[in-house]
Parts: sequence; C-alpha cells; structure tokens
Amino acid sequence: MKNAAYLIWCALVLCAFAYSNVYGYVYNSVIASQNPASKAANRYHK
Amino acid sequence: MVTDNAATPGVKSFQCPACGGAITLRAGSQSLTVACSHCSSVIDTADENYQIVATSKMKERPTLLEMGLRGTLFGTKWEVIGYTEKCDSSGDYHWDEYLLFNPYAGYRFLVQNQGHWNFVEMVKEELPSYAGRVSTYQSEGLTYKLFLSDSSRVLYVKGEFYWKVRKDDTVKEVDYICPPYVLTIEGSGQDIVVSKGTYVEPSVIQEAFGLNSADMPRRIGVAMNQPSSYQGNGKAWGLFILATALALALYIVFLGLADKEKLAQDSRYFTYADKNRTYSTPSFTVKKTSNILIHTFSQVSNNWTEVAYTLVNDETQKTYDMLTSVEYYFGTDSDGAWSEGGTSSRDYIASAVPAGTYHLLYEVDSGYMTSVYGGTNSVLTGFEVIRDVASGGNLIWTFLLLLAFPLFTSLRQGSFESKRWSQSDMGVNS
Repeated sequence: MKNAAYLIWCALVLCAFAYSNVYGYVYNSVIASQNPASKAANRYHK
Repeated sequence: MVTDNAATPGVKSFQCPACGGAITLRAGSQSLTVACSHCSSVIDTADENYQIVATSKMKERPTLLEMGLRGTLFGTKWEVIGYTEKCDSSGDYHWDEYLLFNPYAGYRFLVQNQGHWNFVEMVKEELPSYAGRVSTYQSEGLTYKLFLSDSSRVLYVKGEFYWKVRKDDTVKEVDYICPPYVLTIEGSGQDIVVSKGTYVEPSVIQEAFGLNSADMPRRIGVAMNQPSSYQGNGKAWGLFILATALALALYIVFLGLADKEKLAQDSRYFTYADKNRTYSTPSFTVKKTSNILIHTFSQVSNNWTEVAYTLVNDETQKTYDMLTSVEYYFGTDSDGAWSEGGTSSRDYIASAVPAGTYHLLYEVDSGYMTSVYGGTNSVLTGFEVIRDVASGGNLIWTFLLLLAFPLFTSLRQGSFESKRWSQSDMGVNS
C-alpha cells in the first residue's frame, strides 16, 4: 500500500520535473529572493 | 465427590479437598493441575484423591480474560481455562499467560506483555544439541535471531493446566525472534519444550473475546517480535533508484534539447563615472515560454562587482529583477594558499518567462569604481543573456523529493529496531 503510494508520488515528481523543463520553470535562491530593491529596477520604476 | 458433567462432555466436577468448594475441570481428565477458585489451593487432579499440591493464602484475583471466557481466534473457538502470571529473573518484568483449550484443536497460549499479545503453540521439533546456545536458529525455513536468555518464575496461578504447575516454579527460557514470530525454548536437559508465538494485534484479541477497549492494557514500547510497519522498504529504495535513473535520463535529454539561445550580451570597462548609471540592451525576442539565465563575468582580483538587472517586457512593462555579485579573493595564511569566489556567476533571472519582446536594464557597482583606487579605477564587466537552459537545480529538487519517503521509512525502521533490541540482552542488532 505504502509502496503503491510512493510509486504514484515518484510518477508525479517525474511529471513535474519534465513539465518544469519543458516550460522553463526553475527554482533557485536568486529567483526566490528576487531583490525588489534592485537599483536598476528602482530607477526604471521611477 | 466426583461428577461427570453430562451437559458438556469432557467437563468434570469435584469438591476442593481444602475448602470444599466446587471445582469444574473444563478440559476434563486432560488437566493435571487445577487452582481452586475459592481458596486458590493447587490440586493434583491426576491423583485419585485430589491431593493438595500447594495451599495459598491469596484470594483469587480477577484477570482480563476470565476462566471460561470463549473467543474465536484464527477460525477456532477457544475457551480460557488457565492463567499464570510470570516474571523474569530480576522480578521486575511481568507478563500474563492464558491457557486456551479446544477439545478438537488442543491447547494454545495467549501471552500478554505490556499490552502486546502473542498466540503461542507448542512445536514438535527435534532440537539439536546447540539450540539455545547459538545466535541464530533455523526453523521451518526461517532464520531466528537470539533475543533473550533468562529464566521465568511463576508468581500466580488460576484455573487448570495440563501440566503440574505451582507458584515459584522456575524454568530457563531462551527466545529467538523472526518477527512476527518468536521461538521459545524452555527447560533444560531432557525436559525441553519449544513453542512458537505469533504477534497478534490487541484489537484482534479485543474483538475475539468481546473485551472493552478501556480494559485492554495499553501497549508500551516495541515487543520483541512485533512486526514493523516500516519493514520491507527495500522496494521503496528500488523504486527510488529507478525513479532517480529516469530523472537523470530525462535531464540528459532536456540538456540536449534545450535551445540555450543567446539573446543579448555586453561587456565594457566600468569606471567611477558609471556609478548610478543605468544601461540598457537593445530589445530582443523570447520566442517561447522559457527560463532566462544571465551569465555575468567581471575581472576582479581581491575585489567585488555587483550588477543589478531588470528584465522588462516591452509590451506589458512587466519586470523581473535580479541582483548578482562577482567576488574573487585569494591569498596565503598559516595554512597555505587560499581563494574564494570566482570571476563569473550564472543565475536565472526569471522562471517561465512568457514569449515576447524584452530589453535588459543593468547597473554596475564595484570596489574598483572609486575615484582614488591605486591608479586603477575601472573594471571590465560583461554578461550574456541566455534563454532556455536546463536547470540542474530542478534535478536536485527532484532527487530530494524522491528521496524523502524511503529515507523517512528507513529512519523510522531504524528507530523501531533500535527500540526492539534495547530490550535484548544480546545488545543492539538489526
């Protein structure tokens, strides 16, 4: 039962991995902490 | 006076020679000893005169399964006919043994120990001479591990028994386990009996004998032969390896298929005069939804450069911001040469950027961009904007998400086994 649930989990994770690669989803710390105080951004938004 | 109970064949009644109270033998002539329910004297029922084996001043006390209680376990209807309370050699560790009887199936035991239950039957097995002295023991194709070697002492008896039992009877006992089974070798010399216990969930006992859940003893700790619900996670590890291999194969495919299209680039010397100055690339086209990576490089040496980027969608004016730094320091100390950082960095500015026309704004700051810096007041800095680059970070996240379950179950299994073996006098095993 638990292994069947894990099998489904593996399938979902692999699908998410494939989807993220096809549509260019990435996760890294820079994106996670996108800096709203970016000087260029501030200047642009002014 | 002895009477045969006509209503229930095999059942035999007589009067206690000590107190005169009526005693009924549920297993009839198969019982060799009985404890009087009125005065607790133990009587030899094999003797025609019902000789008293031991007198007792203890009053009969209630037990969870009372004598005469019937219940169906594993497809057979059993009647509780005897009870013994036992303890180990230290006297600290107590357990209950109920004797069950069925006229067609014979005798079985139900052993209750700290809320854990075992259904025990005798094994007719020729024992090799080394039995009880080795660390593993083979029986019926199963490998049992030595768990405990101790003695048990009878503290209290109630009901009837097919052997001669009395208080303070002490016997050597060796337990071998192969969850959910326990093989117990009792006795010494020629007088050795082997029994096989099977772990039974308390709920099964409760249902079989119609007991109230409030009366059931609370399960404490891990029993020596309790099966682990985390056992068999080898399959999960097998699935993990397979899924990780698949993820790796997919990553290699995506690495090959990724466009890695260069959209813009620039490189120039930045000076003090460029401080707070924003530059812009010409507009470029993102053909389809994809991630965008910026490869920044700067000729720094024991210094730093920081670049603030803003990717702007020309049509919607939606922006994506990123602040990145390039730092490279090196030197020598008492441990020798050291260095940290580098002269370039690669960062995704945005994830899943929609197709469209964009331009990039950037502003550079650096330790070199000072008005007085040892004669050098500029730094060569540049970047490349690249679309659709396969992410190693996604592969790492995939790996971690796949790893979570088998790792968790293995840790729980390890903790379970550690609790089990902490009660063994064989030390920690697995």
